[in-house]
Amino acid sequence: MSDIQIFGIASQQARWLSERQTVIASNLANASTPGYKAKDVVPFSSVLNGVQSGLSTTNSRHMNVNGSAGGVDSAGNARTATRTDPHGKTSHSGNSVSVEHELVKGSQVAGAYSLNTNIVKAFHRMLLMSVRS
Amino acid sequence: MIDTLRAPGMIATAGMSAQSERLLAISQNIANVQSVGKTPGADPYSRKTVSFKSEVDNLSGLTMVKVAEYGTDRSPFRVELDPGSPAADQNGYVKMPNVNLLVEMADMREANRVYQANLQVFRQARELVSMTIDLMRT
Repeated sequence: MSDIQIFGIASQQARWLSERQTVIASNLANASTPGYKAKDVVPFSSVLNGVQSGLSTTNSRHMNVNGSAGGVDSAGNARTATRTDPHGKTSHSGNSVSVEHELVKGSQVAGAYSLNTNIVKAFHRMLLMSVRS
Repeated sequence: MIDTLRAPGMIATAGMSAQSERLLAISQNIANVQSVGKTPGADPYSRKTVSFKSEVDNLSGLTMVKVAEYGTDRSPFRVELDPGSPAADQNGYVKMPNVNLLVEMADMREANRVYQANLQVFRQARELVSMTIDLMRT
């Protein structure tokens, strides 16, 4: 079973996506808060790279690349660092939330989540097919 | 730490209630656009304002939004000549509220838009949950 990493990666992406949705919800809730800066999570690719390089480090003198950006904590949870969204245009009140941009990001998250759950469903069906006679 | 799939719904709810507070203030302002004082030279209704601040919820560690303060607009009142009004001073001038209907309408539109955005987040979060539950169906 250890060869099948797809479930691990898929659940990690699902966690990352729901984390991103939380950040989007925070941004939209604060869409009219003076001085609020829009946030975003680090891209999933850097979270994923953090996982893989963390596994491949065999010597203590190897460079530790799963440092600050993303990566996995000791409990195996995807640690999603938030950063200030570079796309935001700051308005007169110091608020940098763009409602349209956040909505687009939200629909991206929903689309990716649907892809994710469908892939998991397909693989689950394959596994069931192999154990059924 | 709360479940991250439930968190967007909670944050969106906080956002929606903040926007409805704002809508409440706007409706008060619009309703009182002609409310003058009772005695000669008295101050009329002054415009109510609502401002927000982002706040980290201690229980869940989420960045919510809440109403920072309810204030009153201190901009000067309009003055109209209406000697018959009970609020007219000795020269016949009445102080009118500092409510501008155009400003209130624009504010209402914006509150509406942000409310809709929060509602959309709520809907999407619910969709994510139902997609996850659907995984159990084969």
